[in-house]
Amino acid sequence: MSFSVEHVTKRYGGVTAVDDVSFQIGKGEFVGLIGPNGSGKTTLLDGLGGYIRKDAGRVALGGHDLSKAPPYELAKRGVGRTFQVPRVFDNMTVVENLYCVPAARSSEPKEKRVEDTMEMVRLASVAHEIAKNLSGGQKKLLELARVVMLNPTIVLMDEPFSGVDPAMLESLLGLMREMNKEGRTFLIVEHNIAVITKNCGRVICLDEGKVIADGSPGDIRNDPRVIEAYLGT
Amino acid sequence: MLTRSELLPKNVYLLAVGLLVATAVVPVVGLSNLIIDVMLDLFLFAFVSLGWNLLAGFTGQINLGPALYFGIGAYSAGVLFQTYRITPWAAFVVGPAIAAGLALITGYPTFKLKGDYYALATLVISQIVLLSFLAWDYVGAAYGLSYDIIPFSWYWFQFNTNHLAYYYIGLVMVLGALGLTWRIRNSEFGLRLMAIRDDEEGAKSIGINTLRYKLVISMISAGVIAMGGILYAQYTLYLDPNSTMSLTITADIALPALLGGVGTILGPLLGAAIIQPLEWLLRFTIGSNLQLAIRGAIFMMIVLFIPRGIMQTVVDKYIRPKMVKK
Amino acid sequence: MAIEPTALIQSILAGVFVGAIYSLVSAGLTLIWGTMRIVNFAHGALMMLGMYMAYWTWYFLGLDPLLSALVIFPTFFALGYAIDKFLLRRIIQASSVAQLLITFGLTLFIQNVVLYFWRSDIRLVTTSYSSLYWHAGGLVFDAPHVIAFFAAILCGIGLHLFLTRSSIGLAIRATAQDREAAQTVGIETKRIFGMTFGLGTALAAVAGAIITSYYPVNPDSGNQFLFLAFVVVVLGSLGNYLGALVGGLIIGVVQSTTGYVYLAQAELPLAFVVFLAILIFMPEGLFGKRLRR
Repeated sequence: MSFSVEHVTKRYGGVTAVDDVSFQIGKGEFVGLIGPNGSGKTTLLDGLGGYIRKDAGRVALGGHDLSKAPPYELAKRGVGRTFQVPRVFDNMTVVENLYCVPAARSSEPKEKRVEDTMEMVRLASVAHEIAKNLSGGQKKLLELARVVMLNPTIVLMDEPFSGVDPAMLESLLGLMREMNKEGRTFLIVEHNIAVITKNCGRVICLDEGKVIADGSPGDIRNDPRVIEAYLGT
Repeated sequence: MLTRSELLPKNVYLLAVGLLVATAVVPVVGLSNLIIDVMLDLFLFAFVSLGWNLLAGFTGQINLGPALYFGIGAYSAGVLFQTYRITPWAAFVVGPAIAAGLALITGYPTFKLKGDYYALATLVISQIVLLSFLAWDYVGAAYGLSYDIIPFSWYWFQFNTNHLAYYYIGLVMVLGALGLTWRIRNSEFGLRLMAIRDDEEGAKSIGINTLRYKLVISMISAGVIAMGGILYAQYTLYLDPNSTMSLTITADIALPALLGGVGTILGPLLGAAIIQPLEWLLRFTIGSNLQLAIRGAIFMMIVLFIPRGIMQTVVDKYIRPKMVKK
Repeated sequence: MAIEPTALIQSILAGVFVGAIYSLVSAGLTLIWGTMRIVNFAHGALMMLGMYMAYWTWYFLGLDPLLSALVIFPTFFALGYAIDKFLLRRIIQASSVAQLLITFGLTLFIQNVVLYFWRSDIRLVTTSYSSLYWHAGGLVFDAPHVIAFFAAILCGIGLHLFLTRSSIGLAIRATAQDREAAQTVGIETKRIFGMTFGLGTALAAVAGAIITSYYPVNPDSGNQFLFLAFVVVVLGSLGNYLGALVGGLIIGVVQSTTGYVYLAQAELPLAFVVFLAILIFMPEGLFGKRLRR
């Protein structure tokens, strides 16, 4: 189930925010997507997630064309997604947040899956708390728990570590690694290069809408174009 | 299923249903016709407000044209009886079907609009239908439809000599609408609707086809409101576009839910139980114009002082803190 | 029915005359909508109050509506300012639906209080020029329409000068474009909201006043204008007062020619259909700015 992105392009008026971006991600990879401000990371992620219409290009998961699929269709096909500001359902309890996930991709009874997920993300102590009362980090965990309920093949994450304290960062990362071990692919947009190069097996760097580097964290750190993009000249 | 966030302790719901059932016994003791009529209005507007609340409460879409569905229900009964001499009970199939169909057709383009634009668009749609009915001879145009009066007949759904029959039908309808709301609130379908209300993009990201869910609940909501229109037609026995589809009726439908609490199960019932007797009283003492002016003032007060309605305000202030402590 | 050129031109002219009134009402609505982000349902009711004030000053003092408009403007500016101060200021941060509901409640209140005191009797102002008309090139110009038209044009020009030349006008436009940015440059947006609502209300009331010489006054008089103003505002783009001024003329002409070539009863439903179509298919209106999302 490889995830392939081919020639994806998005223009806003005269500005090309994402410019002919292509890459392939294999099953079980843990990939970071970095780039300076305005490099088109979030636009690309929104394009892959079906939130904005792409001007050109193809997105496919395991050979299924998902280029024109709306977000809910992508979710049903196994593309999970989290947001920079967690989008939890504020007026519902934590458990209800999980129950409402459609069960299209699993044969196990939902009750068991909710219980298992609650255990996995360690939110049991706040199971019946209204979601808006959770801390910022807990909301990120809850959002990820909802993605777990989807039983996704690939998870797209937008700045999962922004505004998260170090302890919470560890539990979030732990959860992501655990999911990764189950064979789930990750594509993480992140601002914080240190976290990415430390934890990802592969890093893609975007600048001015184009892929300027794609390789191991070591390669990326030493790539002159990446350094130039970040420092400017 | 695991325990859920109940809005209120279960006893409160049981108490409310108990009180309603008690109203079934009370008339046996003997009530004046006036009180029976007041209660009938209470049931009717609690019922349609519960119907409106299905869409407004679960998905947060404020429809400002529910009078349209109310009128469709009323006219379906009127036309069946007066034009075709078919039992008005058949309107319980025809009316909701047409209303749901209209909800589907109008919902498809308007659900793309956000908040106030959706509200405005639904308002304008109901005005278009109202104006069309005013010019449509088939439904009696501006003159409306006057029923041929039948003293008391179950088949013809007319109980002029004894309003108690209407009373019981209204009561059954309210219990039905409460049951329906309860069922939806405690289903995954309901949870997904609330997910859409809380965060539409988030709901899409977990695989919810938000437009389809909104269309389905708006069709159910329209169907319920249309049934209310049928009951209204059968006891007023006179219909015209302004008395069944105007903004006044929209206010009648929305106000109980807004006062009692949009999105709560008992809110519309509580709201109607306050508003309807109050409005009857005001109409008798100071006349219908000032009564409507006061209704306008009530609208403003709700928004200013209890924007979440009585139920939610009470829950947030007194009940939830205690539940969390436990 | 054959369409005669003279009759068609006559109905287009009628559309332009009444359209200028729509322009004025809509400019007020769009200012409020664009600056405060409030869909003011009470706009038509406030216009109707303006018509009553013109009527009563004529009835008791014999004042011509054009003259009483000079008094009505400041009076309704103050009324609008007060409505903002006591009602709207408290909900400026609330949901758009809450704002819609409060102005809806205000409408119910105003209309029914008026209904209670003055009944639904239809009242008409008669002025020295009420039955005056001129002929020119086969066309008929009746004085009340023509005079109201020029009064409306004058108000439109005044509004434009105010919004482009005065410091308060500029502050209103700045607030409409970016509330937070306006605050950072020292504009007291709270006060600006009051001014905006006052100005918008005054425009509606004056528009109402200047048509009383030919338009009957009754508690429902404002309704049609309210709905048409909604159409004009989305047509002319939200918050764009120039768009509203132009849009009002367009809707006026479309409406009157529909009445002439098709059916008078179809005027209003057609305008509503136009409204829905613009909202759904052309959310930016004719002159820019997106309405959706």
